[in-house]
Amino acid sequence: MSSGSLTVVGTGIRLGTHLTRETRLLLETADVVLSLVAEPGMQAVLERLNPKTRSLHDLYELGESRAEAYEAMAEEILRHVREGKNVVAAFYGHPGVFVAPSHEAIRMARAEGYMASMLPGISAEDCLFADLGVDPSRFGCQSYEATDFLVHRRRIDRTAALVLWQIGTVGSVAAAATTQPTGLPVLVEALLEYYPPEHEVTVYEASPYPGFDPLVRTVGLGELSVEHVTALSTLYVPPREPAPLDLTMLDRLGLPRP
Amino acid sequence: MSLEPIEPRDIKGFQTQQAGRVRAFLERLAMDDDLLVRYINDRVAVLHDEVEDERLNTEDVALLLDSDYSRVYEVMSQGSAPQRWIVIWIV
Repeated sequence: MSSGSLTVVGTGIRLGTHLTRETRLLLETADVVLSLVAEPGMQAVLERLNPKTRSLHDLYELGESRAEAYEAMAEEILRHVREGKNVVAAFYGHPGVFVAPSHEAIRMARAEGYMASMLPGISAEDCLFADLGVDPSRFGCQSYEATDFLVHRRRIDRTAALVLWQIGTVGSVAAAATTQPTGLPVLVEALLEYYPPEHEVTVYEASPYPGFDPLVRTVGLGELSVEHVTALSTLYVPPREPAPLDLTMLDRLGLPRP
Repeated sequence: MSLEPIEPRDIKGFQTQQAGRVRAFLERLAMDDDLLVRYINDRVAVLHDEVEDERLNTEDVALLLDSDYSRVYEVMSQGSAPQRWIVIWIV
């Protein structure tokens, strides 16, 4: 195994308070921390935990492809690993949930013979379950990135909940400093194929600061428009109808019928 | 009494100073477990103490007691020159 290592960690969503003890210790002891967080205070906390913290933020180019920025980030992370350093890459939320460069950096590091691992963090979806009081085990839960959902024409099970990420940038693949839901009308149109216009959906954004409530806006699907959406919004769509019970399956499993 | 127009650089200066104070407070909140516990249990008392100790002023407290955190985010982002915060998920 080559010298140099990579550990990818998540900072969670809420400033400082979502860091696990294990993550905090790794951040404090790393040779270098490379960070990509969504809020300036979090960056400041990381720099206080470890003065050798460098932001990957500059690799975003406004208006340019995000995918290219993520390739550059993975390459930048590996550059430090190849120098024999114990590198911690810190991403906001969960580092493996809706984070492209973290997985790519780990894949590259392992392919080159370096130790590489990921620690879990608190994702926006975790916050959503807590703040909206929904349990994915109750109805099941489908989770898609909003643009991916549209361009792949993902099929929806209307008896399960639906979570759509990145509705604040739906239809856009460029890096942006403001909300750009250019594809929101198309998204609403696609959802209206499955749900009636009066079906209530919730635009949600977890609070990044302790002491603040999350953003929760519930509207009829047919009324959902740009003014309801913020840059970091997630859309929660509750099930339209209950899933039917398969009585034959209950019998096969020896479970009692209701 | 005459009302002088506020120069844009004065507004920027005010925002930068406020961002500095609020950032310092939020950093302490994130790093200091005792402060965090006190803040969770009694936000107003902690902010009162911060004003007493002149680490925050009343405008900062109003910002932190607002029900909408987006104003805090705005102040923090504007005060963190030179980079612009790109507010998207990482995919």
